[in-house]
Amino acid sequence: MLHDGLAAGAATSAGVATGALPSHRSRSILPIRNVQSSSTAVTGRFEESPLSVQLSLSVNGRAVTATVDARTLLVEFLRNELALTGTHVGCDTGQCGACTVLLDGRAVKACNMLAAQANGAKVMTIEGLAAADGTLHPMQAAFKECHGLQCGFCTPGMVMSAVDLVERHPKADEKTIREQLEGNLCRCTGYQNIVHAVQQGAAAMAK
Amino acid sequence: MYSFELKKADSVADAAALIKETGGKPLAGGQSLVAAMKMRLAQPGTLVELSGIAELQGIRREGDAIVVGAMTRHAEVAASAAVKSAIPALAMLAEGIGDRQVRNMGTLGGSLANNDPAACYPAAVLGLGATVHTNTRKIAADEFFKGMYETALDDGELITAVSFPVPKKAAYVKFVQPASRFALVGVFVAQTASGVRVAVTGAASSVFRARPIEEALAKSFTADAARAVKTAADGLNTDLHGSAEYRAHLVSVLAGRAVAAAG
Ligand SMILES: Cc1cc2nc3c(=O)[nH]c(=O)nc-3n(C[C@H](O)[C@H](O)[C@H](O)COP(=O)(O)OP(=O)(O)OC[C@H]3O[C@@H](n4cnc5c(N)ncnc54)[C@H](O)[C@@H]3O)c2cc1C
Ligand code: FES
Ligand code: FES
Repeated sequence: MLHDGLAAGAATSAGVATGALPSHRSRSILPIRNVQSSSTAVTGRFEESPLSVQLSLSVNGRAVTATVDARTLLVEFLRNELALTGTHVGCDTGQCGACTVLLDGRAVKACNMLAAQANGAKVMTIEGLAAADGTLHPMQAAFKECHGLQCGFCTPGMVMSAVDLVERHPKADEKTIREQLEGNLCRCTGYQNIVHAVQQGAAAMAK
Repeated sequence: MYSFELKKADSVADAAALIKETGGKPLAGGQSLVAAMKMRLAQPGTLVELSGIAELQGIRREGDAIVVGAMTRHAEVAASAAVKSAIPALAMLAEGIGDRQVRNMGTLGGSLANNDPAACYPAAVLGLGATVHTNTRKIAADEFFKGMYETALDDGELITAVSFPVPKKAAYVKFVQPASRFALVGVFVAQTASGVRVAVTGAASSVFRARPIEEALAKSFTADAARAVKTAADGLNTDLHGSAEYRAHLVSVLAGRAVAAAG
């Protein structure tokens, strides 16, 4: 069976039967601005249809339920429906890691998965790291102190990857840190200070 | 991305029935499929999510083989004590796929069904002479990979697990294409109960066995013996990252490195 791959050429030769796609696409999404203050269920708005899915997950410790278009990517759900815009979209092709969030504690690229793939899971975004009183997470504090960011665009993804990394490698050396951050690109190329920040953050997290 | 219906299956039988009924496609980690759908290279009318199917999960030892469920994530294979002790080359291969985030989502079954010409797992499956289990049959590695993005799977057939025979020794060495992190060329070398096997990924339209190197290594399992074989460039890939001649050269060099790494 030949299936539709990513390679140019293979793509065109792969006929994928879809049948007629319904043209019904009514969307009435109202961004939820008050999610930070909400401690209970948050409900997104999308007309229920065969093309929608019911989501029920935890985001930064809060229960969230919503009906969304099945096509909704996790990063779109976080940014557009929950207004959690700390999770950035750099490349939108799974390459740069700016959209990294934790899915049940594991770093994943939110632009390269459907929101439905996070159903039932615990999602943590950059907004969920700091304490309720605003005290930065030790990894965030380390990025600030070590000047581990320049424009800051890659930073949310870097910090989330770093938190996952330190959970698994509490005493990571520089080589391990660089290997484990392979999925996160910094277009300001400030890697030196990012590695310092992760080392300092790891030490602070161990305390 | 075009609209689709999403259905979640709770057993292999359920998934197979849903796919048959709808003509849909299975969704594993989505690391290749979601990307292809975003670019409208794939437009399934229905996606059947496999992540809730318990029988597709997990890693277990069965006699002289390690059996890995189709939905096992790359990161789980990389971290598995059973895999590390029985087939360390397989754990290392999994740890070298893409990056941490990709390894946390991507699955063995998805990688094999996709059969990207530069993917890593096909080299392990072919190099170890593994057996691909599906919901209807068992397919030997030598019969599974048919060409670029093409496998022996029938429409709607689901990979359920892969049984990897434990080799005497094995190693995988990948020359990374730094932008994609896939293999520019990757070579898996194994000394198995049925002889030496050498599988090459990234170099041609699909993974293949380097028979001349296998023959040389059968006589003398040394890095020099592998390196001395001149791999023909005919039929190998040329692209902006490397010519067919360059890839041919890499095949022998990496086979030598893999023999050295296998010890
Ligand atoms: C940035 C990046 C870097 C990568 N680097 C590498 C690399 O270095 N090496 C490498 O090998 N790969 C690499 N990959 C690919 C990665 O390993 C994918 O996870 C894998 O190819 C597909 O697995 P998946 O579980 O995500 O499958 P999906 O994307 O969900 O599915 C892929 C295809 O397989 C089908 N399918 C899925 N499961 C089954 C099943 N059980 N039975 C039948 N069909 C099924 C789907 O219908 C689909 O057609 C990379 C990917 C990315 C995004
Ligand atoms: S935006 Fe997701 S990886 Fe770049
Ligand atoms: S700080 Fe600018 S992209 Fe990393």
